Amino acid sequence: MARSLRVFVLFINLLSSLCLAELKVGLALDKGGRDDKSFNAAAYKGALEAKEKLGITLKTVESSDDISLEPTLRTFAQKGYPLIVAVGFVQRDAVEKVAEEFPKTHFVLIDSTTQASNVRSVVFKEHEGSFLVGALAALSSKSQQVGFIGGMDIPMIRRFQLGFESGVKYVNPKAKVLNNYVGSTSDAWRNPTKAKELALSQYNKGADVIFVPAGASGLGVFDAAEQTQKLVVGCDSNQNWVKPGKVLTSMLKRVDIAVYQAIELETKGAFKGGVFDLGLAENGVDYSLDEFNRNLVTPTMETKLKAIRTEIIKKQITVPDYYLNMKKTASPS
Amino acid sequence: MKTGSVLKHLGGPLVAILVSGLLTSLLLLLLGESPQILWEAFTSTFFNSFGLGYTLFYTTPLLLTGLSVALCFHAGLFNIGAEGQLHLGAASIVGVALLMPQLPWYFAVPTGILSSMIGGALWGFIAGFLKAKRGSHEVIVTILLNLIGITFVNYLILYPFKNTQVQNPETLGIAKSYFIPPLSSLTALFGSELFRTTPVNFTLFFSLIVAVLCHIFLFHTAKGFELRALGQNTSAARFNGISLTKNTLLVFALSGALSGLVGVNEVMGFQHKLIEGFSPQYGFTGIAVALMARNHPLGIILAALLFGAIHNGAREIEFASEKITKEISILMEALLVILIAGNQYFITQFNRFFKRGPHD
Repeated sequence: MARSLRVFVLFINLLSSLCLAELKVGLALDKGGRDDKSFNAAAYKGALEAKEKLGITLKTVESSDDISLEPTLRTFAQKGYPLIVAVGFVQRDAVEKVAEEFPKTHFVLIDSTTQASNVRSVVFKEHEGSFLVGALAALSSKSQQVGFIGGMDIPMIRRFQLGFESGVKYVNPKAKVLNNYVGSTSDAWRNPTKAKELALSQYNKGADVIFVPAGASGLGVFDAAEQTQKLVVGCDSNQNWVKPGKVLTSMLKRVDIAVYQAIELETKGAFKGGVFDLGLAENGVDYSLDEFNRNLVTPTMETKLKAIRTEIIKKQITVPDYYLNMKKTASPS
Repeated sequence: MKTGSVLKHLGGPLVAILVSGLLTSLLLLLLGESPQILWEAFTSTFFNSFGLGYTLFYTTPLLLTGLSVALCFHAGLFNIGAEGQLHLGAASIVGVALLMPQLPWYFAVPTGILSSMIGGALWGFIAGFLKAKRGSHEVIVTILLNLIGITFVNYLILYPFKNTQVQNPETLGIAKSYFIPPLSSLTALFGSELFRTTPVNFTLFFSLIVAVLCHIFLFHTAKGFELRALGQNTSAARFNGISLTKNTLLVFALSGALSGLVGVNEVMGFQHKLIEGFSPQYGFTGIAVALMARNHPLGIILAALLFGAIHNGAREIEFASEKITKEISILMEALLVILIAGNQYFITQFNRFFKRGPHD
């Protein structure tokens, strides 16, 4: 009996490894594209990792315009991809529609939520991570002025802003925060020229650290930091390497891990729908420390930051959440 | 129209399609891809329900903008403003639908269609007015009006009409009574799954009727004759008492109304709301569509189908290939335009080769 059970388990293992090799995963990125070195790049990295470690077949499609999102998802579903990863809140409606039409297909939606049971929605507590990097920015600022440059003016980026500001004020109540947005349309995610102008103006006004959750636009701010020899805080991906010595840290949004985990679950046949809200406690957001910014973060700053981090996780510090501050208590999706 | 003349009209474009197909295959080979994917893309855009549905969905707006550009061409005017006009048309539908959500469907649908035409016509009329009364060049004016129109519509989307419950820049949804049903609802009645899950809707039939109406208007009415006379020889037409001012105003308003109808397909037929950046430059592709069909309203139906297929097929190519992205459609469209524009030259050479006059 036990023997036959073992054979059976072996057989199942073999079968699953066969399926494993065949799993086709569709990755639909938004306007930023896989080379935004930020949000989409993180998703792409997670999917590539899955390709190497789990042996999946990966097909990546970028959307140059917002209306091609839905046909892209539909084509994936139509072609029989069992798992489709849609990156970016902009894809929410498309995912909702297509998930309803293809109930047997599994979807991963990053940065937005939907109720469909075949969709795994992953959102992040951006305000917690932003609070941390805000605290670090205030600790390292000599001019007592820091800057914030958001991509598109939407509630989600306002959430970054509020978290960042509170982090700055927590460390140094006298510090000033300069705020700017690249734009109010989705082109704001890939307009590095405008972002650079905003950054130069903020640096001129006296800011010496700028936090930039702005997708591919952020690269313009990195240029400005290099030009003016000031500091920048990256976002989403670990961007410390982009301009070594000029990047104080990066607020990590572990989209890569979220994507990898979803693919891994699918290969194990353990895919589960539902909403997953990842914060500091779940390692969904964090700040980065590596050889590129080691010299910029002193041991005192690091100790202080670790203390703040623990306090947020233990809820001794409440980080204000823009979504809750909005008039309607329901979080925008 | 005799069979011979139809062949003569279609021959040039057909050769252009073949040559551009060959050139694109060559490019694919150079990039290390098999040209077979081009063929696969072609078959999947026409010969399966999903692909055909999307092809026809993209055909609808291109047909309307193609007609819009062609109408102006016939009057000797170059309307590059279709992009702005279609934005205004789409925004007008949303504005009216949000103002009057209670209308029953038999009022709501015509109201929506009419408001899209009025919105587009107003935007076209401004260009016509500046051209007719002030003598401003219509190309410059329409290009600049595009910028203003699109920015204005983006403002409407982001502020007065905005849906504050979502992160996307989009308007509130319109009432159900304004919806135009998808074609799949028709095929479903017959138990068919044709067009299922594709957004192609009844606006397609509507725009086909519009194309026929345009044909009748241009070639079988006095007003259409006046427009064409102005286009062929302005001085002669004016000498014969045809008003340049009135007709310029008219043709730009009509042209704008045709572009505005794109909003019907997009807002009432598909999204049921207006999304920032909803048009992948339908207005500009419309110029190529009109050029391909030599401004013939019925030819535009075929040209729009072709460009719709390219737009849709590009996605299939992207899925079939590791390296090629859907931007290849821009290349194919450009090749077509160049080949069509150079078409007359090839025909002349061809005829000379067979020792026949170029125009017999």
